[in-house]
Amino acid sequence: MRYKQTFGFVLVFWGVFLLGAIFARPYVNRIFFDPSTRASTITADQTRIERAKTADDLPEIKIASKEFGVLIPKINVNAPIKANVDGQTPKRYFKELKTAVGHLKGSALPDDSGNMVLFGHSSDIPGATSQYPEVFLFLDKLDKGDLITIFYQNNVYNYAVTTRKTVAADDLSVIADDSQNQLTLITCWPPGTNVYRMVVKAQKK
Amino acid sequence: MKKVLIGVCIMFFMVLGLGISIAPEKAGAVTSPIASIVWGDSAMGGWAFGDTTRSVEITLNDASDYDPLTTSTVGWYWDPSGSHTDADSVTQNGNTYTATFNLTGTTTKAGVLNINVTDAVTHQPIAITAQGATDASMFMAHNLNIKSNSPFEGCASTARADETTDFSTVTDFRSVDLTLHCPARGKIHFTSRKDLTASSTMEGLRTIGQSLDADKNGEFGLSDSTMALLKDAGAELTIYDLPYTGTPDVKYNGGDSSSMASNISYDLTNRSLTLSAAHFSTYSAVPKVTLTAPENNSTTTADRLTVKGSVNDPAATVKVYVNDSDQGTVSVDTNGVFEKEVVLGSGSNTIKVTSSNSVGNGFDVTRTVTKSATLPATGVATYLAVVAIAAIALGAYFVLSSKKSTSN
Repeated sequence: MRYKQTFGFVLVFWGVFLLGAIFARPYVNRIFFDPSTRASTITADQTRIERAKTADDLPEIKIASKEFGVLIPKINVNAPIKANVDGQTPKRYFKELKTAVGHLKGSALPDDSGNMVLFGHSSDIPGATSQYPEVFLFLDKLDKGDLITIFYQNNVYNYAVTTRKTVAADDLSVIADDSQNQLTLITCWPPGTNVYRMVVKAQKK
Repeated sequence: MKKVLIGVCIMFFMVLGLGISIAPEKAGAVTSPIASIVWGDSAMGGWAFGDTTRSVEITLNDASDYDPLTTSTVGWYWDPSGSHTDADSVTQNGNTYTATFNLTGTTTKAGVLNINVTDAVTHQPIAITAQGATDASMFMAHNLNIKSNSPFEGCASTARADETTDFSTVTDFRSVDLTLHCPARGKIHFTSRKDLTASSTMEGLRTIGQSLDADKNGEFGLSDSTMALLKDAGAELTIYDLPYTGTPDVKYNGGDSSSMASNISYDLTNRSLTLSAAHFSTYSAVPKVTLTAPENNSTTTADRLTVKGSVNDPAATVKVYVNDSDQGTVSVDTNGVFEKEVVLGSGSNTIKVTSSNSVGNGFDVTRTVTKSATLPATGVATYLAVVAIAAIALGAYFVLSSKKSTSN
């Protein structure tokens, strides 16, 4: 009987530890680093970013990548983008997402008229070493009109958020190419799971 | 005095005897008795083609030393009557002897003729050292006309004049500007001059009609493995009367030609293809498919997509395959443009487009298109949380059930 009890305690502790490892970091971050209650660390004002033609026009920002990068001042996102990441091979794209936001292979590029799809982590596997484990953790804080800036080959492409919604994992309509100069940001939702997807759509300005 | 006279006489006869014993039969003082060997018809540089009479003049330094008879040993490469031929006549004019060989009949002959000079009295060979060994040999080609000996089958055409090298105008078979022309099919022009005097080369040229691949439109080349000299030689190759509206693909023996063919150009007006051939076998100009959609390695969410493209022969047969499943023959319009809607499966789809026409099959064009099954997963797999909760529940059950049994 004592062995059964000991085994029971071990299981409970292991389960609690695993739950903590999965959810503690994203939710602690959501509580203590909520951008809606904190000032953005990205110093340039929105007007300057909107007027910028090239990344060099914004010397006050340490842009993560002028070649291909994403800047979302409201939720403190400043990350490089890895182009043409295959969205059907998790083993590969998890590796790519350690150092960048992923650009969905086959989707448009900033200088195209189609739908450019970017995806990034809202949470990462416990113990994973990643520079951007929660880069899209606050995607749900974006509202209509918020600014998203893409740097591509040193040029600046600005987008304004149009919609935000949670969709099923197999709702592929959000990445369909409608040739409307759109930007689509995708992350798993709720944080710590991959049940749904948080999708933010933005329109090129 | 008498003794001195007798001694002088003895010495005289000793010297005379020694002289007689060491002197040749006819004392030739020169070590190189032949002053020159000149082959007839200097305009041909000593090389002959198709004549019935060839002569060689052998001039001695001193004809009084010899009674020469000249003979020839002719190394014909192929000759049913044998390989040895004596001179048909030898005439003398002072120090010069003229040996004449009559090449009569229509037999095709080629070979290296070697001259031997022999003293008629002693039958001893006279060394040809003064002029060097090369002067003692001459290449002869008799009645060797590659077109008449071995006609190119299927090559008759009134549209173009035959440009095949005319051997009757060749003055030196060691350096020939060689062209093999099939006016109906194509042309091979070797970029460097060729030495055709080797036995294997002559044999190949004698039967060149069997080596030339000219029996099918759009194909051209040399296939005979004995033609090493020509097979390995760089050449400019032209293929005539092709059906293509743009530069076709080129195949070498039905496969990739990238290491064999270069400088490929297509004359749309005359519908002829020109290329530099590094090595010879058969080259063929095949239809070329260009796909405009879908893009390779693209991702789509749609169940169907349209394969769009064009082929440079509107009469070509174009077929589409999805994951090796035949989607049928595609309709091609008069401009060679085609499109075909296909159904995609989940995951990776390999779309292959093939083309073929009367010349042969073109190279397959493939595109890989991924049909997305789900949006990318960027969070922690949910099953981990489920496993954690299950572990907690099971552990709690064990703890509680063990406490209950203890209390009982």
